[in-house]
Amino acid sequence: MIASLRRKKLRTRMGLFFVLMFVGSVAIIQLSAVIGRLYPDAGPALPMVLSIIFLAAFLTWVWTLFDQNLATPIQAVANHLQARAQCDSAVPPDPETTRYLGDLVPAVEQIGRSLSNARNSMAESVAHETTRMSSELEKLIQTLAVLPLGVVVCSGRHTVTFYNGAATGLLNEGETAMALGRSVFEFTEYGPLLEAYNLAVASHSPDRSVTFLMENARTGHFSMGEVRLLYAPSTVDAQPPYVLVLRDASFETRNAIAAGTLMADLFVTLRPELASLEANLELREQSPSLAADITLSEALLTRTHKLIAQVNSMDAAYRKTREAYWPLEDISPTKFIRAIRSRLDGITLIAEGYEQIRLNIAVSPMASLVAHLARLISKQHNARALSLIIREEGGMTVIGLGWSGHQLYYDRLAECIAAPLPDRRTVLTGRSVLRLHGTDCWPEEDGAGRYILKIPLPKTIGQHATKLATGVNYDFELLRRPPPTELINAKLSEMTYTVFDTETTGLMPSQGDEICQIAALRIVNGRIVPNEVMEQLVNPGRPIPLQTTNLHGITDDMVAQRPTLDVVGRQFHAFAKESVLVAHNAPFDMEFLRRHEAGIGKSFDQPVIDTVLLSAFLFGRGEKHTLDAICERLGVRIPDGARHTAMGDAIATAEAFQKMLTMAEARGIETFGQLIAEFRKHERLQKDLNTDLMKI
Amino acid sequence: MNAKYILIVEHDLTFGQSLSTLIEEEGYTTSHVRSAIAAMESLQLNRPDALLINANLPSMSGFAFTQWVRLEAGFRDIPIALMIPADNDIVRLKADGVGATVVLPLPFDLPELNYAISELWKGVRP
Repeated sequence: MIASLRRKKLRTRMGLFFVLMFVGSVAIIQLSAVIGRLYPDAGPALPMVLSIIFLAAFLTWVWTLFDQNLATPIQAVANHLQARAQCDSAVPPDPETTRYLGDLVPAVEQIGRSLSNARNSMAESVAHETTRMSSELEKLIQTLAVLPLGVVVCSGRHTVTFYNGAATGLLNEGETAMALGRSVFEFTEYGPLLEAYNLAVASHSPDRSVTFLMENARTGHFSMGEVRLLYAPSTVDAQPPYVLVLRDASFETRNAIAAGTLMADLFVTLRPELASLEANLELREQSPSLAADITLSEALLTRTHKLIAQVNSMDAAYRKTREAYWPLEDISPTKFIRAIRSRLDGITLIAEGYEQIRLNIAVSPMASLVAHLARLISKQHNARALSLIIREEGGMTVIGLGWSGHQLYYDRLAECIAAPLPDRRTVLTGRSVLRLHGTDCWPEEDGAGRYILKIPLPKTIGQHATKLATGVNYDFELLRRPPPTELINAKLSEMTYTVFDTETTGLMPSQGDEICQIAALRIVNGRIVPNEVMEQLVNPGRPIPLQTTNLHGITDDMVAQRPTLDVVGRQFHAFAKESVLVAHNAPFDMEFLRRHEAGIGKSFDQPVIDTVLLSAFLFGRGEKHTLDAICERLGVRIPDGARHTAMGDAIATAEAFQKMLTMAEARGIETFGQLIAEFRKHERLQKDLNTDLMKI
Repeated sequence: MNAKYILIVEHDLTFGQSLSTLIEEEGYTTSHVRSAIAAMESLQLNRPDALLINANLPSMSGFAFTQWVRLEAGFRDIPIALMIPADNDIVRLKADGVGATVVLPLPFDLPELNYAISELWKGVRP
């Protein structure tokens, strides 16, 4: 019976159980009645008692069967379903135990399969979307990185949370390089930006931008800045973060200033001179005695000479301004030829001999002019093919158009370049393009019935478009960073750290050993900031002993032309401004630096964290606290060859420091004050350097 | 021996007359015209031994006129001294390019003028 049950459906099986119970119960009642009739002496209660006993036994047997074959397997399936809900790899119950559940197990399996399918496709689409978003973000970042506009995002307290390469080029004003987590005013003038920000806040609108002009005191460059709020100020946030977009405006500003000066010169200086000259000449005309006066004639001549000299110098200044109004680009002739060809229709341009030459031109206007001239020559001589010659000639690069047949009349050429260029919407004429390049053009015989229209390019005209730095650094978490608190209560996870290492000529600063290299990097908001690093060889002012050279690889030759610690120390001080210094065995490095504080002109009074002390606190005094031992313990790998280089050690120290900081926080050490209190317990091992800063 | 004849093409009347006087004092004969067009007519009538041309002429410029002379079969070998407004590399190259024999930047003094005139006869068959 059981064997045949296996093939039945669950419902049939349940039905059969009840049929079995019914048939069994009927049989037991019948049997009890029969027994009661066989033993009439036992009284009328016997069949009743017997049927109760037999029924109890029978139902217990049926229950056991039910429990073993249905209830337990159902429970197993239920457990499996719960596990399956959490993970796809949950193992289904043994088929032997669930053999009587009929369709239930296959049904559960089917649900499981569709669940995991759904889950997988969900995971897949999430992964897909994530990849898409991160690649879009990547693209956006790349765009911002190469954007010729400087972009800086600052918090309402003017902390830099984003900047691109162009911004570093435009803003770096002080000693410090642009860096995350710093006040933007370290890199730019205080007044104009703050004024613009306050105006933007006062406008109560993120759609309004405020434009201002600022001058970089260090480079003398002018930048046009634009401040735009990220969102409107509210009662909750009265000082919203903002985007600062910067554009190099040196070009226009300087030109405008130069043109203004020139005009002033023209009217203020030249007019009175001319007026007096005129008066003199008139008097001379009216008086025969004056006319005969040779001294006066000579004086008048001298004045005229002076005037001509003045006009000449003004002419030179004017030339500079007009030549500068269109920035020149340094390009390859190939690009230039392509630009000309794209403007020519039906005329073949054969390029000749330009391989090694670079052109310094305003590409688009010059291409328009050359194309215009090519059309002129082609029309005049019915030529379909012209040669484009780019060659060095008499110290200049010459752009030439060559053809065979007849000479081009200079008058026709003059007419042609006096007219506006046909493919430009502006009033730019051929003449103005030539002036822009400080040159002229004319036709010459090139021998053997060939002619050439020459445009020479003087070497030192105009200004190059400046190359801007690229790259992006950002940490938008900084936008949410609370205002700084007292050092003792400052959160370790929110502090800015400068992790550094030095290489020296030896171990004894007291006996004349000196620093010969400094490397440093920054940890802002718990992250090592890529690109914000300092690595500088230092001239120690004394020979480097061979045994130390063997250790760090720095030789006397390498440092001979380097600045001294007085200079590099000042750079380092600026780099580490408003941060906590972190070094492995900090007292050693600090000793070298502090001995030079007078020469550097700054004192290193920042808080200092020594990773030796941090390790002693975390792992106990019994452990080794060398940089190698700490790194090994924490799984920080120092690449081969990087150990004992200042940068390699600084990176290793920074990575170990990040890990140890997390461990310290897990032990409830969250503030700088708490950490220093722990350090004081290890003073027998190493002196803590923060005694002046904090009396705990 | 016939004195060499130089045609002066200079728009400014006073300056042209002064040039005429100064050059004649050196033993040449000259005549003075005030435009390129007038010079063309004068060339047809009396072929000069040399031309002294100011680059800045109204309507047809001295550069254009120099080039015209170089393209005319009958006149192409006449030496030309071209006076240019400022001593500038590009203008000098252009003057050379269109066919000037000698380039004479303004302003110049008498020795410079005489030197330029004497340079005109170099490379010319006696």
